[in-house]
Amino acid sequence: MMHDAALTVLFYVLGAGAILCALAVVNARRLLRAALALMFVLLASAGLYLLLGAEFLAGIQVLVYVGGIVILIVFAVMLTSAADLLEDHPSPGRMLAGAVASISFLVFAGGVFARLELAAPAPGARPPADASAIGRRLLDFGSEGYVLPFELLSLLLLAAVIGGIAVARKTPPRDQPFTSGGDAPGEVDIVLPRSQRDEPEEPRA
Amino acid sequence: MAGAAAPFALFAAAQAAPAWPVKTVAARAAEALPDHPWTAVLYMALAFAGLGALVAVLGMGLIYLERKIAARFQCRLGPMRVGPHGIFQTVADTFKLLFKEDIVPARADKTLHLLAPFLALSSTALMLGVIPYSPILQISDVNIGVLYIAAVSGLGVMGILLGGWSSYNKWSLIGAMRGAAQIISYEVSATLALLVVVMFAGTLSLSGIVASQAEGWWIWRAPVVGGIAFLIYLTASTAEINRTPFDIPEGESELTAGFHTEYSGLRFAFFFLAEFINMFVAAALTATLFLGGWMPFHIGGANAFNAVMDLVPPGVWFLGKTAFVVFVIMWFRWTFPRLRVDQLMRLEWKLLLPIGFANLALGALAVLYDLYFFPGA
Amino acid sequence: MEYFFILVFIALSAAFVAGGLIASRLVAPRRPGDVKNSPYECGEQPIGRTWIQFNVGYYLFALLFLVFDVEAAFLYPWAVIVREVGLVGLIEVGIFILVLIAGLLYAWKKGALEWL
Repeated sequence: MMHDAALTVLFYVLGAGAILCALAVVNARRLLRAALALMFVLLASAGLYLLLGAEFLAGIQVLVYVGGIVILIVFAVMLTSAADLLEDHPSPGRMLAGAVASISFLVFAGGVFARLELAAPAPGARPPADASAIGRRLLDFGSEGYVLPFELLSLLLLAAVIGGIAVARKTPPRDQPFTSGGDAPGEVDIVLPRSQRDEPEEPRA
Repeated sequence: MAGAAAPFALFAAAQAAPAWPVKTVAARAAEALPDHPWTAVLYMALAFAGLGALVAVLGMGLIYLERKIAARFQCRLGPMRVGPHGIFQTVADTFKLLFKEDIVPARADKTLHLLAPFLALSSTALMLGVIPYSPILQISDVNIGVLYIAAVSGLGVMGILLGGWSSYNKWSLIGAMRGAAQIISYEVSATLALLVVVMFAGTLSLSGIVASQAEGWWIWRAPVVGGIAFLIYLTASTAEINRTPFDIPEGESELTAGFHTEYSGLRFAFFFLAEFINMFVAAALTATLFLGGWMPFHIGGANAFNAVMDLVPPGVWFLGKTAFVVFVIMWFRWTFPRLRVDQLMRLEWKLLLPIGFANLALGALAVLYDLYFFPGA
Repeated sequence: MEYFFILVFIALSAAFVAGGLIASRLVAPRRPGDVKNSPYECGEQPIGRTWIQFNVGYYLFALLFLVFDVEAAFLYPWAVIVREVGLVGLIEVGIFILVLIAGLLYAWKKGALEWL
């Protein structure tokens, strides 16, 4: 009884934390703060998975999303050279696009939730969610199994690799010193866009 | 294997009983909770007091050891002044850091600058909590064990990235980016090596993996495959904790101090502490996965021999193996020169990763066709 | 219970760091200055901005890592039941991994594994 009450409290704490952090993601002025808030959202949802008894899923959530996606986002932010500040006044076009995107997502999500029947499964009726049970279903090539999605997933990942390389094709660093080949240690980690070179330093107080 | 000679039948009988019933502190607390709630609270308090003491002792002890071992490799004496053989040097240093000014650069992101040491140290503390120190001394045995470890170490990467970025310092930022790139790259190989052990043990739980080595440690019981996995894992963990020869993110001759250049006082101390405890965690995990953890040196079926080995308590075995791996990692530092960034990435993606995949495939075949020692056990 | 302990760990380690920082705040001197608080650049005046564009190579490695991270997430469930699913399971996983190795080889050929 007390156990259930404690779990319920924990559920609401985690849920509220996730929502607050999600608000912080969209309101943060600095992209990196948004990334950090996103990390806490994902951690809180991993906590919710734990409450549901899906330990393996919670582990994967932290491994892939916190350890992978958030890091990738941070690296992507570093690519943009706008890591410090978001735009103060986005152009009307961008605002319109953002409004359309968020409203259509709201409609979509509302439609999905309206159709869902969110009945809690009876205790004990939960399907086993440990690693070996997941593995059995994943590799089962019968009608209950997921072996085809599993194999297709590798193609998806392959596409991600190829796409990433194609998009981020490195331009040969011609105008940079010290990277002309030979045994030059790849020391130039930072590429300054032309506009930012020789930027005058802000006056020191 | 009929290794047990008749005169030692007594020992063999003693061996037959379940030798090491595993019971975590969390399990004890759960058991006590319905009837004696205060006992459960006591267990919890004990666990955390123990963990806090462990962090303090490990931090200070490892830093002292590092300095002493470094000195010995260079024919010096190392710290000698504070206390006999300088054993109180680190204590004195800790107090010094406590009384140092906490300088935050003017244009830093102050919130994130403050938050980064929290992330770094919590990810480390979270890993300390699940390591099986001995059958009766493990605070929590999460049943996704190795997955949990891999997941939690991701938080540490975030701590490094935030620390470096928020400092508004070029050295810090470059160090953080290199550090993160290095850690995530070597994580791939570490996972592949770890999966080999998971395949042989058939479980993700850390105490389950230790228990699966009752007939022998995986480093030799899985012939060749185990050894290669051990070497890959040791290399990858050395890289993941930014130790020489993989200390490019904080190579002092290149980047001042890397991601924590702009940290001073106690905030710096927390990063430093996290780094040293990470070394302990890496060594403890290497010992747990490949060297049997607290499991004494057993040879399947040789019951008499195993019984002699059992005379040494499991906790001592764990400590001995971990200390050995820690020493090896410190030894690396005085043996190998630092790699260059491009060499580092080449080593991981073009050497360790292909070997890791091949090793995983060989390991799977070895498991399927019982091509390892004592498969029946 | 095992996970409840984990939750308390997070709180306690945070309390540990916070306690240390508060103690340090109480005893340590605080004398900020313009020069002291400027970013360290080996004694020189800092030049240019710090938060600038990084090389795309970092992003590529992060992307490759993510791909292999997801792959590992699918290998964990297989690794615990290798014996049970036998050769068929190994072949299924083998195809999965081979496709990814093709991706790795593509990255290798395209020079994406070179640093800069």
